[in-house]
Amino acid sequence: MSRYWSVFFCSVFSFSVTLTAEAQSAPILGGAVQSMNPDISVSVLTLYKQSKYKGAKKTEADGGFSLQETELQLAANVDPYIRASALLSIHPAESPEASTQTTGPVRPEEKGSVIEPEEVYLETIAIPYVTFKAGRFHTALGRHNLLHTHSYPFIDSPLINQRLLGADGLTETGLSAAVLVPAPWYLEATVQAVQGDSTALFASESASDLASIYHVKNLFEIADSTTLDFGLSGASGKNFYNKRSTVEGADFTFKWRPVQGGKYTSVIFAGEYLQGSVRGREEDSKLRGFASWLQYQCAERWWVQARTEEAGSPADSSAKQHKQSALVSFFPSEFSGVRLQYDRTTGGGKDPLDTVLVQGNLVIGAHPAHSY
Amino acid sequence: MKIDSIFSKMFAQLSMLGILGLAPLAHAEVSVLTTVSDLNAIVQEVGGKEVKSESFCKGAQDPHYLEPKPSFMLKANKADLVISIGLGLEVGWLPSIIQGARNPKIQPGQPGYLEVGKSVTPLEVPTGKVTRAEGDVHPEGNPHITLDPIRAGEVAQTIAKRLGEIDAPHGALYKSRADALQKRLSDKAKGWSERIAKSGVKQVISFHKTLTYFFDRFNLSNPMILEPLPGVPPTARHTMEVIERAKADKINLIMVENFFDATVANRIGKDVPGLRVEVVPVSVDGDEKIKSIDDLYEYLVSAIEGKAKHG
Repeated sequence: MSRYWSVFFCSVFSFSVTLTAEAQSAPILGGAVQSMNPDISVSVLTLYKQSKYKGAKKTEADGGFSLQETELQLAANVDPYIRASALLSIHPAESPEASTQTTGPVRPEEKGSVIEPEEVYLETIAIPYVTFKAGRFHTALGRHNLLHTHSYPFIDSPLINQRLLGADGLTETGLSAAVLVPAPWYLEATVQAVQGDSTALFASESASDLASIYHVKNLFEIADSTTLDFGLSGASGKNFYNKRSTVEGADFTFKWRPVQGGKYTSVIFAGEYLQGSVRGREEDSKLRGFASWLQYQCAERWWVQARTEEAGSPADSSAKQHKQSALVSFFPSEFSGVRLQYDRTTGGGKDPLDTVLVQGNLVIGAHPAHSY
Repeated sequence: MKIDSIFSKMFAQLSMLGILGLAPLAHAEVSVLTTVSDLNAIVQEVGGKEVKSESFCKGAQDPHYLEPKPSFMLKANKADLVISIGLGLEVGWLPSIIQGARNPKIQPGQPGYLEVGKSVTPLEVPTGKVTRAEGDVHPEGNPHITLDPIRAGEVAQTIAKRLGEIDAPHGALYKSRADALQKRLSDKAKGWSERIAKSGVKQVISFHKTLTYFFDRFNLSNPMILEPLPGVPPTARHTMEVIERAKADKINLIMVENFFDATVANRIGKDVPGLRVEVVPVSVDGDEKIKSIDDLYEYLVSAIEGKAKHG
């Protein structure tokens, strides 16, 4: 399997080399290169992490410097009807998020990097009211699951997302239809049918068993400066134990950025709740949790943030995990940033765990799309 | 009922909703969205009552850094025409709005998509290799084209032509309104030019290269920019250089575009004798008083004369 991806990556690499050669010979009009090249960008996340249980003499083995993720993104319109995007993720074989769930040292042979097609899909651009998407994509489940790692509000995703959907979230292969419903406010209804073979949540033996995901997003523009976003989502499908897994979620986001002076200050208050059950699994067959966070932009390039979380089994309140995080970030430009995060995780039958993370975030190539 | 059959039903219903959406909505007016408020002002004059238009970016917002709010996508879903500057100005946010709008009429390449920057001669087009080490540079040239009344007249003609293609019965009407706008601005530009020459101001420091086209049209030089590089906030070292240059060259005016913080400019104003600081709107609606594109140039000329009053 890994050989397959090496071949794939080599092909993509030689493809981009060809593109560069083309770009050099392309005519330069008005200072810009006019060509049929796709938009190419590379985003890099570097991470330094140290974590230590209260009273322990040594820090945890999974810390230190790491190349958290490198994303190579290619996107272009195929023709007047379809747009294509390919996003390849290169990351350590065992991601830093996953390793927070393990104890003890990682054996050297387990290290190394993998290249994965994080998202490779086609989407329609010429059909009114609906975007159809086909390929591999982040499923429309909740809020964090739709984001790429470098767009997470904090360095990591919430505990409940990691425990319920897996360290890399629920990314599957299938079809999606996102309808912009004609309503006085922004109302988008998304339904997705996916193969469900990439995670423990959905992994049926039968190819005809598709998992389904649904999502409704509402956004109300209260004023030019203020929006309130409220979403509901769910997923259902056969799991590894040949029984049904289900997930339900709710999320909200309040955003304020004044029209006058909006370059220098803004506030985001958001929350996400997820609950799910994996029938047939002995441990953690039911899980639920939430994360709620506040982001304050205190200057043009500075943010301070705080987050509180809870995750665990509804049946056993003593095993619940709680986590509090604080973050300061500095973005010298739209294309680079550095973030410092401190977490304290308690509960789950373990001593309190303190973690410090420093993340460098940069992007080169095509101008990244502003997020909202 | 199996969950998969429920899902199939939902999928079918949602697809039906999409098909219903194919039916064209009867429009009495051409529905236009512009990226910036100057374009909106031009569209409102050229389009008159035959056109309904609105701008994504408000006059006091920095058009480089707008966020693609889903509410913009909802508006774009119903639009017949989206008009942008292009030249890289809206690259961070307009593609997301157009993709999210699910409206085939406004896709690039369609009559409902218009970039006006290409129809005028842009200034400050870099030559040779461009890198972001030079800041947030625009490889196709400076995008703030509407700050020049003559280019604004050319933009009005480009807009009238496209409106005429979309709404042929009113094509001649759009053209006559664009002609009137172009002539009026051209006539007024002579008066503005005389007033600026009379003011004695020859050099102006600005925060960003927003006013390049205005300065170029009225023979004003722009020897220093408060940003050390485009998109990079002022640094202490660069501010010292600005102070030294302003003293040495006897520069007597700093114009700060009103979506930037004027603190640094005010500090420089205190350090350099005779240096005046004017915080100015650079877009229609950027100040309560600026209701039309004429008001915008009038305000800027008054600011150079030292006679501008905030709304």
